[in-house]
Amino acid sequence: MVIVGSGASGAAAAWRLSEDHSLRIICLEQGALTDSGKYPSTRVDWELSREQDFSSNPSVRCNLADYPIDDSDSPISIANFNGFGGSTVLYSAHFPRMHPSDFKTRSLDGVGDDWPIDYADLQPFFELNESMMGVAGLVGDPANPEYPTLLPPVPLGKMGRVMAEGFNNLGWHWWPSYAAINTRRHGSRGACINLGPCNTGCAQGAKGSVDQTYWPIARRQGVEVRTQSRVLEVTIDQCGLAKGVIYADASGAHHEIHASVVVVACSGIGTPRLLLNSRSQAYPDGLGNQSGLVGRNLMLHPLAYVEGVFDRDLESSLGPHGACIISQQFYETCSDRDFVRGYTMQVLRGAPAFETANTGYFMRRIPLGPDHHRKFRQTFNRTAGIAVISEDLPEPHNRMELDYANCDSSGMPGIKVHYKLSENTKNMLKHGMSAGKQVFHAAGATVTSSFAPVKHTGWHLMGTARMGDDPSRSVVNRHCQVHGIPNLFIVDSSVFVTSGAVNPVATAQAITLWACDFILKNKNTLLS
Amino acid sequence: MNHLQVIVETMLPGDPDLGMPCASSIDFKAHLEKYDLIDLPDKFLRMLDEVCGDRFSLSFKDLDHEQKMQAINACKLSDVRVFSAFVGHLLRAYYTSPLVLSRIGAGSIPPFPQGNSLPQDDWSVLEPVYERGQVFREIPED
Repeated sequence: MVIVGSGASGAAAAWRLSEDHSLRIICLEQGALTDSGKYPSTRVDWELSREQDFSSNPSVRCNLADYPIDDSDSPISIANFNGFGGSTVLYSAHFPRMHPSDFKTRSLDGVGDDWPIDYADLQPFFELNESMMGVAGLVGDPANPEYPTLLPPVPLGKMGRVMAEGFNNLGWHWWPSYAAINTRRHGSRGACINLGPCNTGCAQGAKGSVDQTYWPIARRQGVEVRTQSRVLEVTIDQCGLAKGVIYADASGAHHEIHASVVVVACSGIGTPRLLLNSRSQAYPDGLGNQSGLVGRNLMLHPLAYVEGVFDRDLESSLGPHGACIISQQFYETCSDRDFVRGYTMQVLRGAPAFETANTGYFMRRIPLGPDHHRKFRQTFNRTAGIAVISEDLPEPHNRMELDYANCDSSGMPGIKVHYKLSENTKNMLKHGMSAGKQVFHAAGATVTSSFAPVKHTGWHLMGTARMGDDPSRSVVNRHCQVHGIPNLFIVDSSVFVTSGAVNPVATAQAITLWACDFILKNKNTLLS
Repeated sequence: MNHLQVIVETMLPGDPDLGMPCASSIDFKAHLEKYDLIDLPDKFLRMLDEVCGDRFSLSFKDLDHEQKMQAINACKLSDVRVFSAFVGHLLRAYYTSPLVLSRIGAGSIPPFPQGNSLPQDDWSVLEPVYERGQVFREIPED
């Protein structure tokens, strides 16, 4: 078997499939290995790495592994990381599950489409995945079906406690964040020591990035990983089945691998890119694209941001940046509102020192000159943010396509993104900003900024190879098999039918494990 | 003290009451060299000289403190790119200095390996949330 991509879903697939020791599995990853001993939090100037080699913006990083992304026709820029472990190396590890209603939006609310699978189908895979990734939180959340077990919650910190009081004053739901962060030793990984910048890589190894969770076990189980190996094409045999892949190694040399099963897990933009680039006489519009839906229905979770400042030092810059409090007060549809579906509010910790000073200066809140230090002190360690993660509904005109004018270092076309906010989303973001402001006021803070959509937040890439029972309206079936090519599987968030309003990794990996369960149960048929 | 030091000290002076050092006490040049920006101070100084000449018919060093700040701020209108780059890198250098970070409560410097401790939580604060009950939607059986 060949797995394309070593990120969240590729890693989960590698682990699960390699539990069957009769299988030979090769994973091809276009990026390189990262060295956690050299992650930015080991350096005093760690903050500056976010503008350089640890930026979430591929156009800033400009690694050989990165491919050109033209997102000039989108209010939201694509964020990712191309390396061993994929974007989990840089994610904040916020790890909530999608809700039961997210799988039935057409039936419940008349929008989007129902998934061919539901929450109950995925529940055992959510649980398995959480045990592998190490997820902190607290059981008993009234906004989610019961979790059987979780690691202790990530500490709220002084700021989190004050924000919690704000939610309580409003009578609104809040809960300690679900986070793929070891709050105590779990597996072979140590406990979180609150370094702070999870999104520049975790030097402690406490964050559940898949290079630390799934991969060590998958490699012990025999999976061969070839890094700096960019898959250019999935090849097809004369029967129309997947034959294998062609990839370019670091020297640019091309190789072909034959495989009985090809599993694609390159993200919501990388996966359709590969499918669209895999053209043949049998599939002139790209693999799996008979419906014309490969690359379409791109969902990005448009984000609103509200920031507040308190009148006292709450040490708010300390602690895992993205994991503090989650509120799902406005997650489910309510007929009183001018939008359907809903959003999550994610409380973010305060900005670090340079960001505080730089933003403060250019927003005219922290001047240069004699008053600088006093104003800085009135801001640093006193701020908090609320990110409003809105449910993005699938719309075919929101899409990515190949950009033949801009190719990567292997000569493979880059991508062009076309994306617009819907009226439903705009109304939701407006509501979310208003709600965020109310929380800050109720917590005793002054709101200093609020805006939407936030440009550089296109981490959540979903929907571009959607799942469905009808081949004319979907790319893969309920088992993540590409329609018409039963030995080609897509197991990442490309297959999402709708987006929910939560960070997608927990659900994406549960789907991966669900698909792998099917592969293993049917391996004799698939391998014959 | 050289010209550059006078300028950065005007922009970020020390504050003894808050225990903050002035910008001339950090190694700004080393930062600029690290980021291959050794030409940036010259560009900024040329711009500042022109602004001082145009506005005050004096050189920067002969201005009083208020005039110095006025001249620096006026550079933004003269060439916003050079101005923003210079200010941005001064702030980068200053706020990644161990000396500065140790004075502002930025936690361990660098964060790894020592990390930071956060206080224990009392989860009774969640009582009102429990009491309000379930807020997610049940899905009817097919």
